[in-house]
Amino acid sequence: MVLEAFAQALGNLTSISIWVWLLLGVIWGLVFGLVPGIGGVTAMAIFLGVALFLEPMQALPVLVALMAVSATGGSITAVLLGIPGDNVNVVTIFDGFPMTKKGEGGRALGAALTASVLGGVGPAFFTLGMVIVVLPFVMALTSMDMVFIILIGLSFVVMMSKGSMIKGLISAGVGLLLATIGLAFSTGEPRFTFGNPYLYDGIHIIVVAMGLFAIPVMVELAMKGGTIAEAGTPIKGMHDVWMGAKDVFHNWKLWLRSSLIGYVFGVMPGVGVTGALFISYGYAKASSKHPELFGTGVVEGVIGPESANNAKESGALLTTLALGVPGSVTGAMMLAALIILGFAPGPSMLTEHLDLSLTLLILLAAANVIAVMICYPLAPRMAGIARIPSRLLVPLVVGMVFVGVYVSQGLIQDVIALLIFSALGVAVRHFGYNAGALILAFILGRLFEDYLMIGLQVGGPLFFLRPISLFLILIIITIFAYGPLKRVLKRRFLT
Amino acid sequence: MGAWLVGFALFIYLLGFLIAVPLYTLFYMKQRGSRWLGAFVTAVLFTAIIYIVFEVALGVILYKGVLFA
Repeated sequence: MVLEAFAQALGNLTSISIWVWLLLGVIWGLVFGLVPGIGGVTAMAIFLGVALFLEPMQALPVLVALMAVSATGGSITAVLLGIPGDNVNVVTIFDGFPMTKKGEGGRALGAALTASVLGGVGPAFFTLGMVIVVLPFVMALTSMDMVFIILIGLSFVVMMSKGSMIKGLISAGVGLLLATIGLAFSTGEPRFTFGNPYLYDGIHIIVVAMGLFAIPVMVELAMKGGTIAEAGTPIKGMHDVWMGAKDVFHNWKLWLRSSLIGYVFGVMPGVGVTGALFISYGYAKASSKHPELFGTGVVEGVIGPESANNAKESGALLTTLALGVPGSVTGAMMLAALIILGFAPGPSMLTEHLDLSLTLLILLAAANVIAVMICYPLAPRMAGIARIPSRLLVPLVVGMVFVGVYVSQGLIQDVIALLIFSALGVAVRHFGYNAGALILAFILGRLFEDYLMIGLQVGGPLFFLRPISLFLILIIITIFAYGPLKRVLKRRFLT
Repeated sequence: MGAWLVGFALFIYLLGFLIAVPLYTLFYMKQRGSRWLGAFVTAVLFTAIIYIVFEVALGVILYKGVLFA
């Protein structure tokens, strides 16, 4: 069956139209990645509005491209202008920008791009292999077990929130609360609908996505004003791009381990990318022969984070497809898209739709390659895009968002809902709460209740007394006990 | 900025997208320092692109606003 699916997946790829859409997605993703302040998540959120009107084989290649490329476009501005395209590129600046200032910009860029493409492609193929390993496990899962998979996802989301765990918990809690709005799945009783039929289906995912991720970013931009990239350092020395590429091959062990770090972070549901970046940078520094030079412009400081941030997307796609639990916020967008397009994320993606999942994984790798092929020659010119003034960018993006939200359902109430959620999104950002946790909990919350109801109906109140479920419960306990346990053990052994 | 968003939404509700979008773009850019010509061209161009992508290519009717319904 797996071989059949592989064959079918390859067959899917012979359609030219898929590649055209993939290319469109790559360009869209690169441009959004380049412009500081907007990145893969915003690009995907905006595209969700259009995705509704497209065939799956048109929309999905674009979304996969956006996921893949979200980390690549921003590396250009990070290295050449010292400005992150998105928060995934922040760490690249530490050594990438100093290299440009030293005149080694080409080399840094070559290293960043090569690390990105290898980091994106290698793990993608690894994932193809992983699918086969994971398949028997996934097929053994039943709805009753899915309840706990979702709980694991929620636990990760909360545990791994950067900053205060309390705020992460509250954000997730708000997401869950919002998920309850609507008609209850099994009984049809209206919850929090205030008698308004608009709310019977619950809050529209696109409204949440745009309100939490697209608009607040624009609000911040509007308040900062001016051009994001000031007239930066003139870019010289692009001819040593090849040297940078060779650097990555030379440091292949670093690349391998950074990719692995990124991949694992991607697979873990709910975990953000920042952890992966700092850990891979820290590892690069620790394993280097000249750690004290880090920060002054060392190529390894670029290779580490850039491999990690692309590898992460492959891992996230695997988790999102296989378990129906998002591996990252971009994964959450992908999940929303799959739901909108009529797919039920979860085990069915690896059984009934295995060929589609395999196609998507291959497309992810391909998107990385295409992106880098575009970037190599055009990078300096592309950096110019980052200089787009905010007074131009803000109305364009805001306009796109509002139109996108409206066309997704054709309901003007969505526009009002968008205002409300934008206010929420701005508040979340301003007070340091976790928008990613909120939207992940929102999506997971609705899935959770569905599976719980099915589980109870099929298995009765003791439905969790099954080996797989108990194993999953154990994992959840471990996740929560890990922190406190570490502290207790430390105290025991140090006193 | 909140005022801009609420105002934009209000204009969409009253006059529909094809009027609200160019107006919002034009006035926002002007208020932030653009010149009339640049803002005007951007507003018109942007609206045209939205019209073509959504109404022509995808066949969706953009909201016309209560004043026109």
